[in-house]
Amino acid sequence: MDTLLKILVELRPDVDFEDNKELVDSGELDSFDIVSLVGELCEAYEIEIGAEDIVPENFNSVEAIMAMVVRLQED
Amino acid sequence: MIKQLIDGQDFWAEIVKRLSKGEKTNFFFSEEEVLQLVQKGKISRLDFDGGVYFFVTEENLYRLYYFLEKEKSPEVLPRLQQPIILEEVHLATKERIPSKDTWEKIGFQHYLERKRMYLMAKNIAFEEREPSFATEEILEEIFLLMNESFEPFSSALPTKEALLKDIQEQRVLISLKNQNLLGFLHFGDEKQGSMLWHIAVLPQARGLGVGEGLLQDWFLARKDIAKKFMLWVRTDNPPALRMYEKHGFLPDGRVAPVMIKTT
Repeated sequence: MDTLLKILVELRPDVDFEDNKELVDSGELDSFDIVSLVGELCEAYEIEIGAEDIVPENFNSVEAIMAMVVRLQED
Repeated sequence: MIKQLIDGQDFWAEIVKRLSKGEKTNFFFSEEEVLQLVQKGKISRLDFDGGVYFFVTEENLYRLYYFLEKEKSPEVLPRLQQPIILEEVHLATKERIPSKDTWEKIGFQHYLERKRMYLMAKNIAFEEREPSFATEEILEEIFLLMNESFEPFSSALPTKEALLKDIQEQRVLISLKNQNLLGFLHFGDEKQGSMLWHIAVLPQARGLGVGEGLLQDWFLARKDIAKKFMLWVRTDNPPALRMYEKHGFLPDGRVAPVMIKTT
C-alpha cells in the first residue's frame, strides 16, 4: 500500500487519496492520470493491466486500485 | 496512406487496447469525445511499423496524436497543407518519451511549454470585492483582446459564439475603468474545480494590479462551488508565474510542451 500511495502522491500531489472514494467519478483523476497510473502500476508490481480492467471502478479509491493489483498479481 | 476513421466504437476499443499494452501516447480524450470526433469526420489515421498517428483536422492546422509501442520511434510524417501541432503532457519528474530530440529529427520545432498549477480554496484569503461579469455588449472587445493576446495554435481560443455563451452564463469576468475595458478573465467549471482558461490585460493597463484583481474576482465568483482553482501557464511568462506563485498557486507536476511542424 505504501508503494501505491507513493506513486499516487507523486502523480497528483494536490489530491487527497486517503479520503476520496470517487477519484474517477468526482473528476479528481482524469484520463492522463489513469494512463500514467497504468504504466506505473505495471512497472512497480510487474503486472499486466488488460483493457477490461481499465474501468472507473478499479481506480475510484486507493483500496480499489490495490484490490485490482493484488488480483492481477494472483492471476 | 491516411484514412478517415468511420467507426467510433471500434476506434475507442482500439484506444483502450493500446493503453492497456502500455503504449506511449498523447491521446487523452474520453470515449464521448472520441465518438464526437469520429462522427464529425474530423479524425484520420496513418499506421506505421510500431505505431499509429491520428490527425484531428481544424480550420488552419492539424493536431497530431500518436500511439507508440515500447522502444519504437515516431515515423516521418507526410507533407501536409497546414501546420501540424503536437501537444503532449508529461510529468516534470519523469523522462519525456519520445524525447524532444526524437521529434526534432522528423521536423518538429519547439513552440512553447506550459505547466499546470493549482490552489486549494481553503488556502485562499478572500478579499471583500464585487466581481464584475462581462455583458454581451462588450463581446467584440473581449474577443478582440483575446485573439490579440494569445497565440493561435494551442490556446484553446473559443469561437465568438462559444464566448458569447460563456458571457451569458457568467464565466467571463472583467475589469473596467471609466467604462473602458482593462482586462478579462475567462474560466470554466470542471468536476474537480474551476479552471482558468484565459486572462488578458490591455498593454497600457499592465502593472496596475488588474490581473490580481481579476484573480480575486474569480476566487469570489467560485468560492461556494470550487474546492480547487487550476490553470495552465506558459513557462516563458515570468510575470504571470510570479503573480500565480504570489497567490499561492503550486505546480502539480504536469508539463505540456507544444511542438510545431510547418509546411
